[in-house]
Amino acid sequence: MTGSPYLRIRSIKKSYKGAVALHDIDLDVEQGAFVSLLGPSGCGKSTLLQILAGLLEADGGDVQLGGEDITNLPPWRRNIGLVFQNYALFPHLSIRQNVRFGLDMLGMDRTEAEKRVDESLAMVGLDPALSRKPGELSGGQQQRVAIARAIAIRPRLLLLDEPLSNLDAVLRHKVRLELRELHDRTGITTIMVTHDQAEALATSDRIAVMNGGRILQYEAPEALYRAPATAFIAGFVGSPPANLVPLSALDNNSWTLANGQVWKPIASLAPRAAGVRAGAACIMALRPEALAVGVSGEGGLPGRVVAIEFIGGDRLVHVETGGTQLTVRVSAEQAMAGPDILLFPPQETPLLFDANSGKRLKADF
Amino acid sequence: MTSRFSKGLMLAGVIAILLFLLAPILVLIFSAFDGGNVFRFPPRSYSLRWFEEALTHTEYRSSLWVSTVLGIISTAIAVGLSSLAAFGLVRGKPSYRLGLEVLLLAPLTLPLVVWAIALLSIYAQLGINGTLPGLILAHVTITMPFAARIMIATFDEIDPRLEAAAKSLGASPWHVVRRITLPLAMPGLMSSTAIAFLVSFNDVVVTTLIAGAGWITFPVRTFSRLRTEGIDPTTIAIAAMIVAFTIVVIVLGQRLFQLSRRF
Amino acid sequence: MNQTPDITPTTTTLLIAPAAVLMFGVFVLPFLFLVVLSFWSQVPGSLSLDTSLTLANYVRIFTDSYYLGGLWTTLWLSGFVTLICLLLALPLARWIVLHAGRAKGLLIGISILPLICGALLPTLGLVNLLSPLGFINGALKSMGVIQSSLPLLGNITGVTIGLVQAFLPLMVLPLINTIERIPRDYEKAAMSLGASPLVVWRRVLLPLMLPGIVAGSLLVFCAALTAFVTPQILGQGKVVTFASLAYQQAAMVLDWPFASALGIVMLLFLALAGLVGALISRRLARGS
Repeated sequence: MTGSPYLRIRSIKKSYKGAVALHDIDLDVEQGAFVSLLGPSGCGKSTLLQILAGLLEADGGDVQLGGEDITNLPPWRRNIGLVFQNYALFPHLSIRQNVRFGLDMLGMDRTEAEKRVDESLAMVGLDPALSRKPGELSGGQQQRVAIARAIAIRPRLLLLDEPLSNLDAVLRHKVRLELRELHDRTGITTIMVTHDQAEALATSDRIAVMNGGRILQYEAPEALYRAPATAFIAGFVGSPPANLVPLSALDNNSWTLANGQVWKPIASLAPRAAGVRAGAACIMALRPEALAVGVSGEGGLPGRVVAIEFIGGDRLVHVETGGTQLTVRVSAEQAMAGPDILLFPPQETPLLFDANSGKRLKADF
Repeated sequence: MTSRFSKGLMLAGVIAILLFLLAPILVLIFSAFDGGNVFRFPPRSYSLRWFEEALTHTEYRSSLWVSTVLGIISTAIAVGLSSLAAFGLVRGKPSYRLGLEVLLLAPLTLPLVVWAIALLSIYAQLGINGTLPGLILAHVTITMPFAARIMIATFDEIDPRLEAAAKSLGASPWHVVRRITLPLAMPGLMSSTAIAFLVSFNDVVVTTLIAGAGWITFPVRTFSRLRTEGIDPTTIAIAAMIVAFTIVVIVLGQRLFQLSRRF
Repeated sequence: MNQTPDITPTTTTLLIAPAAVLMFGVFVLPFLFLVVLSFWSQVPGSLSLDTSLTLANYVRIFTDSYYLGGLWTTLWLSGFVTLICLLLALPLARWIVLHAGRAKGLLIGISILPLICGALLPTLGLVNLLSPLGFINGALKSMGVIQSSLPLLGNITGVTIGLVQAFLPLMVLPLINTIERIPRDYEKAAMSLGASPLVVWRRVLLPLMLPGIVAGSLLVFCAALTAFVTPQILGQGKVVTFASLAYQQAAMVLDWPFASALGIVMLLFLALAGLVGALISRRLARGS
């Protein structure tokens, strides 16, 4: 360990009326990083964010920011910017008054505060002359105001709670690029909570995938995609996410699929290669974009085309195989034979997980 | 054709019911302009003399004064206490919230006459019957449910994330209340103040039992006169002014802060 | 997440305590005292109380035909007033919800006006409306419809009109709340399935409105049962209701134990009405 990280979270615990929301969370964030907390609703990511903001009290553990222990600091002394999902703009104040609110609380001198408001509004691409009330703005503009308000106080940390989920699909795409740009320009250490893996992959330096109140994996986006630690992550990351095929080892060379059908793959995907003993129940993750479709060949997984979805440059082919439905992404130009086809997984090390624990099985060879 | 006919019939019926609701108040205001000593329809003459009489009549002026003072003090206490309680119930989310709401709203559903009889006997035992504090306590109690209902609805509508956002921007709890919560609760505070004052000012059921000879409010004086001497035109003039005032407050309240939505 | 309090339990308690203590002490406790008081008696010819327990007050109520008569009058009058309020409020509430549009707020304001004006002021207007020289008789006479005045004051007719007028809002408000929550599509769906307007009312709307009807009826019945200002003024002492008897005992005769017993009897009938309402609601909930 070289020095301590900028934000250091240790053994944060939280339960609500006996239901555990967070089990012993540890997380380190480097200064200037953009980190996402990614997970389905109820995974504890928002709870963690509220604890960082000081709006919720943790049952145990501690948080250090820039070397200072802020665990017991009230929210108004933390200097941490927070952007809410519904923006939480003060309806009785004008746009400028909203942005100036935090500066007034700091007791900043009037002219300096006005200058800072101009800067912050310009930073998010809003006209500083805006004199309207928040209710008269579109959702996208309201969100910009909320961000301007949070960064006006020059926070030590910027927290974004599902910042894109109230925007329509087109705007969402645009704003997520802008968020990253803003981060790069200001250099403010940022933590974003999201349930949308595409958002997290596109913006973040590192992603902490959460489920059931635990952090399952904390990695850079590419590492997360290439080497998911659990079946849950494999089935969550990617668009569309990986197909999870339940299977059990019949012998060293073949798998039994969910409906009892036997599949004898190429050697690198066989149970022996993964070090799985006969009878062990596993889950194999197959990425839709990595599956090749054919009609004959060695080691193919037999299936039957159920439906084809045209999505622009590509097609999503839904294939019923061995009792499971898989999605395959193929180029729109590729001719589809069928309905009976063979699927060919890539010849690399398979993404194989233990069916009970969900953990990745390391292929030791 | 039939549907249009039945729609017209419906509308006529609704207007008739609304007229029936308003008739007493309309007749009251109309009859205040009757110049005679006893109201008769159609009036023989119209005049403003009873209004002049009302404004100079010392006995009525003193009882109007009592009503006003009592109304202001009781309203201030009831709105203050119920605002604190409503904020506590909405933001503190205690497990006993429902039970407490029932307690605060109880005077709306339980018979006030019965309660006033009991309160009168207790006051007599304590020796505070006929005193202003005793009367104020009673009025705070009957106005509390009106104020509490409006304040609970008001705070329920204020997004707690606004307060959280203010905190994250460096506002201490005191600043959050002063800069965010209070301004946002202002329409509700105004509505509950108006309603509580009107309820206190116009109450006769409880006051006629609780008020002693020293603190006779206008409704109590009118009620006791009505039972002994019948209607006197000065009373009608004052009543008409009070009703007009009430209507103005409600219409203004409706315009400015959607009073009826909070009811 | 919404279950998390925003302030500490201690702060919560401190905020709620003053109002709760006041309401408990000044509103709830007197009712408990009332029960005890109703078993006491007044020392004849004095203001002091005899605290030995006795059933005398209750025996007096249920044996004296004067009080029994008052009780009977009050009960059927309250039931009748409730029924009329329901018949008037149903079309009014539905019309306000469906057709009033922007005037809705104002109309609700009008309907709560009698509530806020207290019992007295509208009653004053009613006297001038109903008296022998009043608005109705005067208008009918000048149109030549009648020769001599109709007796509208000092009898049950006047009291009924006054009570309906005073308590109609108590029926209208819960009905508006219930009707607002019924999606209009239900009606359209029923009609598309071949139901005539009458059938739609009977089979779809009324059952859905029933919670509001039960709540409103309870409120009106209870209010009418305990009203004494309107009956006293419009009945001119000739219509004896139970609450006015209690009022007389408490304010004029100063026999508080007896007034308390009268109050307790009223509460018992209110509880009975509440029980009936609860039973209807529960049957309804089971039926659907």
